[in-house]
Amino acid sequence: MAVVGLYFIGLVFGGDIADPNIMILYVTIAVVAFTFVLLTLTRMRRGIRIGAYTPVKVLSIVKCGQCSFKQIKNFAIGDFVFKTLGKCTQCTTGDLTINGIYTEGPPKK
Amino acid sequence: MLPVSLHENDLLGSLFGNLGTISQLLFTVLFIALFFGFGQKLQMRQFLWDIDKGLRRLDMFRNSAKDLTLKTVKEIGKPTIDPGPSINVLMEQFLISPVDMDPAGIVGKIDHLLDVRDEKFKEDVRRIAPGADSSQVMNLENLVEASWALNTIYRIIRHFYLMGKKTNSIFIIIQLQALLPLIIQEAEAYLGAAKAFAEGQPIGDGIGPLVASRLMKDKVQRKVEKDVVVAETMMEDRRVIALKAEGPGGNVGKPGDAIKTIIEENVDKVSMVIMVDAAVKFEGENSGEVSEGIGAAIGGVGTERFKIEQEATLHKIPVYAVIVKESLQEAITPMKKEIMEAGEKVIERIKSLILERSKPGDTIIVAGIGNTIGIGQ
Repeated sequence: MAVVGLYFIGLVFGGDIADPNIMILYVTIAVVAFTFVLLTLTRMRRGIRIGAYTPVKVLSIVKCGQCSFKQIKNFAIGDFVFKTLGKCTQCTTGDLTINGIYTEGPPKK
Repeated sequence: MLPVSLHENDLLGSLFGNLGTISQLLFTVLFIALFFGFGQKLQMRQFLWDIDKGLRRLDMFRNSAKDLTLKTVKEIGKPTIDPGPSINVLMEQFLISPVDMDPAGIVGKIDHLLDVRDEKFKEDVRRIAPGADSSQVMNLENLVEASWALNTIYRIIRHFYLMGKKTNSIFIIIQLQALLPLIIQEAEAYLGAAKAFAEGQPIGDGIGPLVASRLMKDKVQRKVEKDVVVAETMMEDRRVIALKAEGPGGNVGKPGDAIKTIIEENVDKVSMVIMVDAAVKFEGENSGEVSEGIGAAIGGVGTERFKIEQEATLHKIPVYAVIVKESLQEAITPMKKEIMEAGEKVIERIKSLILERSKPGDTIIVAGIGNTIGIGQ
């Protein structure tokens, strides 16, 4: 279709056509051909975007039950909400627990 | 009379002179033939290309999920024999719903069938992954189910695609092409769910269990009906019995049976039941918005909802629902931050509901409904 469009544009600008009606017809065909190409391209892009799976980054919030210690780390296999990870390194008395696991998700467009 | 040659030249001249008119006519005829004669055929061909592309994508999704299942089973389950053939059998499994010509007692029949299916699925997974602990078996079961869903979606779409192609029916093809973007989105979400299940990450549907686990944290817990844990706590001078499916393995439990048991244990004491669940939002609504309403907030085929409604009606107990809005994709993929943060808002809503609708000293059941994968208690 792009070739058809380019061919008719070439005919129009070739300077051989004197009849304005023919010129309008050729321009119309070229516009229709280019619109078709453009629509097909946008359809293809939409299709590719829908199908592409984007892996997400999952984070775990670690909190101490005694002090204000809070850490956000990458999720590791075996993590779950309310899993105890050991003693707090800051206050050394409280237990470190996973308080939440979440993903930020892709940024909004 | 003019000479013949002159006559011919004149004819050719007039013919070339009218070239514009001829080409115009030719184009008009071509246009009519192309767009009216073959328009539908061309459109159908384009739709078929689209479906073919979508189908290849769905095939890629199902293969990825299957590979992930195999890899996870081998890593966690430490099987002694190749789990591939057994996984293939599980992926083709089906459930025949009971006859509904005489609907009396159908809930019991469906419940029984689901129990059998659940038990069989669990046993099969345990057999192919003997090295997995009970929590991992639950996660693997969920993972196999996600792969099963992707396989089923692919098979159904392929069926209609081939049928449309075979019968040349534009109506089948148009419907399929129109629905395909939504189906691909759903399939993509299932692939995300498979990855979450393989790693044991909490999913959006887990907001109900997350709220319940926050209420029952550090309290004495006991197990009631199938895979459901219960703990008592005090909130605004009311006795709150919180329940959720036993985590952190991927599990929804049987909250209907658990609520029934608790009501029967506390006859005439329970003043209200509050159910917390994730609910599908409408497009344009924000994820993590909290809403409240009346009725049993629980999905699935309806057997658990039936049990809760029946028990609540029998004892004249009001049932309230607090829901967290999210899309279908968000419900089955790793929990988003805004959904996790909605947990605090839900607890505030529960408190205000309790204050408005009950008296100090009352007993209230708070049920966290949903898949508890990655959420302990």
